[in-house]
Amino acid sequence: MTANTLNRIPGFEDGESESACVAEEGFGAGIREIQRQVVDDYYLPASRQLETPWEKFARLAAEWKQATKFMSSVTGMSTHWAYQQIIGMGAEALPLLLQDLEQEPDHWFWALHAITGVDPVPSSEAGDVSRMTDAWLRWGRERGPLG
Amino acid sequence: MSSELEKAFSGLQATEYRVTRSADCRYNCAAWAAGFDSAWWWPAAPHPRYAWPHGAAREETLPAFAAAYALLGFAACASDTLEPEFEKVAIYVAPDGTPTHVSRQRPSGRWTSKLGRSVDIEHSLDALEGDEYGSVALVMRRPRTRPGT
Repeated sequence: MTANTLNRIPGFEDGESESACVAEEGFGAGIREIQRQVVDDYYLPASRQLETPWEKFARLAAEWKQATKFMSSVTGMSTHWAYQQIIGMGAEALPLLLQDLEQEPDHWFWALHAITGVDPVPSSEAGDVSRMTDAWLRWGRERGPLG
Repeated sequence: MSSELEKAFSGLQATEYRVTRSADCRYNCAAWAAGFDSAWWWPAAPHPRYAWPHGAAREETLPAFAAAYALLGFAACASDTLEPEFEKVAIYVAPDGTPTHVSRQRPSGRWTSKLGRSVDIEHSLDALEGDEYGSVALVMRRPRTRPGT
């Protein structure tokens, strides 16, 4: 993060001129997004701070499903901020991801691989979402999270 | 659903379109454009594995997409206008050149698209241009194997 980026975030102003930041015109949208995220996190309501892992997962999963529903890019879907937050939940998210897959197939494969470091899907079943789902559910039953 | 579609794709507001299939997360636009509805095609990283034509580079670039469809018999062409003896696909890219969507022309001249994990629609080609998918960067064609297919 550059000094100019920090200048735009509340609490990091160091008295530098506004024009130095404004000059980075193409960078402006990114800075505003960082600023928004910092402010959002800072003012996170107490109710959200008390979320259970399931509530957090359900909120993030709903956000992700809505925001990426017209997207085909696996990279785009998997790098969406809500999806990344779910990966950030780590092992805590594992049974929740598998339970969601049990309810309905969806593209949780990147997250499952990122959290576990394994990929139980044979290359012959690449892209077959139903079979990819089955492979992960089988893994979950054999390795514990769904056992 | 229609208001949600028109919100995501403002071009649909002023043109005729129709939903032709319900939402399904098991296949996507890239597979549907090639005539398949049983797999999700994308040149994603090796893990997780997704389908992609064998021999095509697993890169999210327009040349890689063009190479993938070339393996299926498509070749670049100059126009999106209907040529009855040819089947056409159109590749949309974001402003940075990254492919976002692929659409296929029906024998009627209209285009069919699978919209991510959502529905299939029949539409005009430019109706999907905009914030969500960017714009059409390449049209390719291959001879129709059977008239009307």
